[in-house]
Amino acid sequence: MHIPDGYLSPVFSLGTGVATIPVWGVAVNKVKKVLNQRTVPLLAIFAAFSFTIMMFNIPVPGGTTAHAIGGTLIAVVLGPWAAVIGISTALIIQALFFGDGGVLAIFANCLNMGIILPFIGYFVYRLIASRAPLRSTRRVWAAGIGAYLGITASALAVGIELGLQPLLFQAGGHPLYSPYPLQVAIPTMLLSHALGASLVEALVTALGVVYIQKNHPQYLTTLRGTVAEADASAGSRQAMPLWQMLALGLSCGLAILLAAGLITGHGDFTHLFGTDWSHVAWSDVGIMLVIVLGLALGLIPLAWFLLPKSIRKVGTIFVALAVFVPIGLIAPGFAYAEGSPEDVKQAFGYMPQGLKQLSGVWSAPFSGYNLQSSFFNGPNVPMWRQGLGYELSGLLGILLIGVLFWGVATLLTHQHKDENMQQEERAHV
Amino acid sequence: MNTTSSQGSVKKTYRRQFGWIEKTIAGIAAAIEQAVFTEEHSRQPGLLQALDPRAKLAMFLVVVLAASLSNSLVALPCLYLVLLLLARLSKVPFDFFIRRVWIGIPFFAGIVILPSVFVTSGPRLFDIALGALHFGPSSASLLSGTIFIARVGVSVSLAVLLILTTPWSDILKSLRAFHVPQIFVLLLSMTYRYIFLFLHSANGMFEARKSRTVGRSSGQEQRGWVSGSMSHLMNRSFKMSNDVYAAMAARGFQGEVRSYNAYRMTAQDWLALVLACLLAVLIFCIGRYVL
Amino acid sequence: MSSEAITSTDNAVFALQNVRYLYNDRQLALDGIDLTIQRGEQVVLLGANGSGKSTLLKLLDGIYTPSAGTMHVLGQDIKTATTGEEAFRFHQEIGLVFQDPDIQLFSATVFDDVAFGPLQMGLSQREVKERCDEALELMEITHLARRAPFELSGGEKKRAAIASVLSLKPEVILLDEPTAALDPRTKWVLVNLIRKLGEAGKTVITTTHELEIVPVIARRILVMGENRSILADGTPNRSCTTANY
Repeated sequence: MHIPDGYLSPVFSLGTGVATIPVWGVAVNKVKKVLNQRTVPLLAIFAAFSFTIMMFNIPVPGGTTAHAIGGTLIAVVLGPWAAVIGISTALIIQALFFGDGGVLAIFANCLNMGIILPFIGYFVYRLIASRAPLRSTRRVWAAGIGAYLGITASALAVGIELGLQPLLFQAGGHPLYSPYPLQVAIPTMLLSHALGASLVEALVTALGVVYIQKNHPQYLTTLRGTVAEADASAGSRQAMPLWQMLALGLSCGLAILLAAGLITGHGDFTHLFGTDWSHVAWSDVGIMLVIVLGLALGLIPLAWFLLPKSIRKVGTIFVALAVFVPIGLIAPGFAYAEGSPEDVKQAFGYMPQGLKQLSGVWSAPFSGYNLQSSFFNGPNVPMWRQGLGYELSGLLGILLIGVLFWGVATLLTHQHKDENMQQEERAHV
Repeated sequence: MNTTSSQGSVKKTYRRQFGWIEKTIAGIAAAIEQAVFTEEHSRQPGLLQALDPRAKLAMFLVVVLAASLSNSLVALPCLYLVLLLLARLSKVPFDFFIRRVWIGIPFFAGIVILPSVFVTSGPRLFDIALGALHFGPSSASLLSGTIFIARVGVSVSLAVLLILTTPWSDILKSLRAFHVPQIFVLLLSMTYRYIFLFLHSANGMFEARKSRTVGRSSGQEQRGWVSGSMSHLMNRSFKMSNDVYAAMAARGFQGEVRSYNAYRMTAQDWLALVLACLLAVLIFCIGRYVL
Repeated sequence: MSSEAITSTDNAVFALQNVRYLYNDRQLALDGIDLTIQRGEQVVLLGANGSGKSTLLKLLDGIYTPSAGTMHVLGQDIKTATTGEEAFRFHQEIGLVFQDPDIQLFSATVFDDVAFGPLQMGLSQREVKERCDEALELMEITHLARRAPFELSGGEKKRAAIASVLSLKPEVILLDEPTAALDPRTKWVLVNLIRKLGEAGKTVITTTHELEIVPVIARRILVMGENRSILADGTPNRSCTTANY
């Protein structure tokens, strides 16, 4: 996530200093007030700590490794202002001494990773943790979610900064710096982090908080208390059951969808969740549900028994997803992400050219998300056959994507292995 | 054990159990090695090493600014040639200078820029058709891609040149001339000192883990261990910061920072600074008025 | 060492021939090391600071691999012994106690740290408990099992670090300056514990700067010189006097 020199216009890079420098100033004053003369040694050591943990390789499923920034973990323990200074110092040393990230881009990098990340992470943590006891599971989740959102927000900021370049700085229609516009830069940065680095960061932060809770719960109080090594009323270890967490998450998601649907449907209750429910043939839905349940009862236990132990859990979850996801296809209009070009056209009034080209490739086997066979969608077939067709084509589609993903992943890991072997050979020579 | 398939799985197990440990150890070793090399090199007798660090920092900033503002395919290579000459005169090993600069960041920039070169609206030089999708560079997109890579490469080369010819403590002291608050300068220098202590500890922890890896452990256990060792390191940080504060207080530190500065700008330093400014103006003019 | 010693590796734990090691592929750390250590030997490694003692121990523990030369461990070539599944067995047979116990003790409590190795070996809960209790008892720190490592004194940390290696039941134990920075009483307690390990038939290789403990814990002495190779090799009396250490 370190932006090197040359990606951002120097005017823009130095311009971000307008945001960064005052925050540093405030941070130094705030921290000085709490720590007094201890400021320098404590922050220097934590900056060194921050630098060091950025070098740790964390094993992730699939046999590869990732790095964490640890910004939220530091913010949780030291508070956001001290974290700002600690991480910024580590970033400046990385840029000036190890060439990681540009020198002119220091302000931008410090804004993204040194300010946005710890602040978002810390405030989400405080929001969720509120006054929970120091050893409660709620704090673990709060830190994990905070870390996830913190690093994702930081990636979003990078996406916006890169995406602004072609808008602001071009000559004769040609971009001078990073060439990708906002609509490319933001999704790329967001997706690549939200599905990868953010998850690792969240996991490591959560595990780190568990470790601190177990061994040094006093660090989860205020910074002043931590430094003075005051006794914290740690409380006993309280666990919030997993189902409560899941229920909370699910109801939050439903509430957000409901609100979004009400807003887009102008308060009309037949348009709940953003779709027009008055057009749903409920008998079709019933048949679909019966078929899905039947398939689920058969396939999920089968997967559990057949899959090798190492991928049993993950594999079964994927099979379950594959069985249940096609339910989404029954929603009228279109499911949020899986519209056919016609649906998209209806919704937005135009059709992207690329989507039209691509959809041609898929139209042959599964037109309209159903199998091209008179058995499933002849003119007068009974509804259960149509339902089965939907379900099967959905499963096939998910399977195809799965195979594609697996293929790419295997290719990537093989490449990785080759690199590793080369490195080993060099080490042995 | 001897069939190829089981050998593959053995390799895989090994990579899962040891790969992340060895990668971290290798990364730390590389960082330490780089630091040692840099410090060694910044003390060699060379052209740039002889200059006042403040002059060097100002020269660096002026030139890097000019390079970043430039989008001329004449000015950037010319600047790079000047940099190669300076590197030679400062006894920077050539292969190192070129390898470290170009294999890293600009190479990555090249990969990043590639799609924008091939997906373009202008008239294409050649055309690769993939079904209904067309790819191919236009002369304009090729030009802006090349300039992008050249600019990134020159910026990185400049930074490497500055770092390789100036000891870290001198870079920090010269920050004072740019009105960076003294507290930040002290912070940076102390951080730099403790980074090596922490890298040493982290290295030891990973080596100890490698030494006692005697069986399979799950990814979950490994991640738990990594975050546990981070927190362990954090705990040591608190203890150490208290000790360091006590040691500073014992020697009369009261929160105010004072430093000793024996540098004096000579005529030679001013000359170099003026030359760097001229170079920057030249680059700027080439970009604006010539090409 | 003669060439016979290399070929008759049945009983040799370590057989090194002309081994050289470069730190970071650049900096010479060990050069021209010829060394054979038999099963059950008790060896002390002497040498000035920076002569490569710790590096040699890490090389013997398979953390570093030789840059040149041949090295056999327990009759196997080092490269085959430390790659693939063999690496687990290797680390189980050979245990290294690091110089800085703060670095080696990475778990939350002493017991967790001692149990780390046995748990990874996939032993049952009962067996893990047995091994840990045994190791803690041998190091006489059973009462410290529930303590956090940072609550321990220097000598206690050292003993905990040794226990965490002993619980693997290794054939070979490598100790890097076990008595550094200890008071005389604690030092002699630890020296006696090390002597007991040797009497129990383990191969023990110790580095130290303290000459007075050497006769107690070693039958053989190796002296490393400033040129990063082995200067002298012999019994306690001889090499102490011949090498101008």
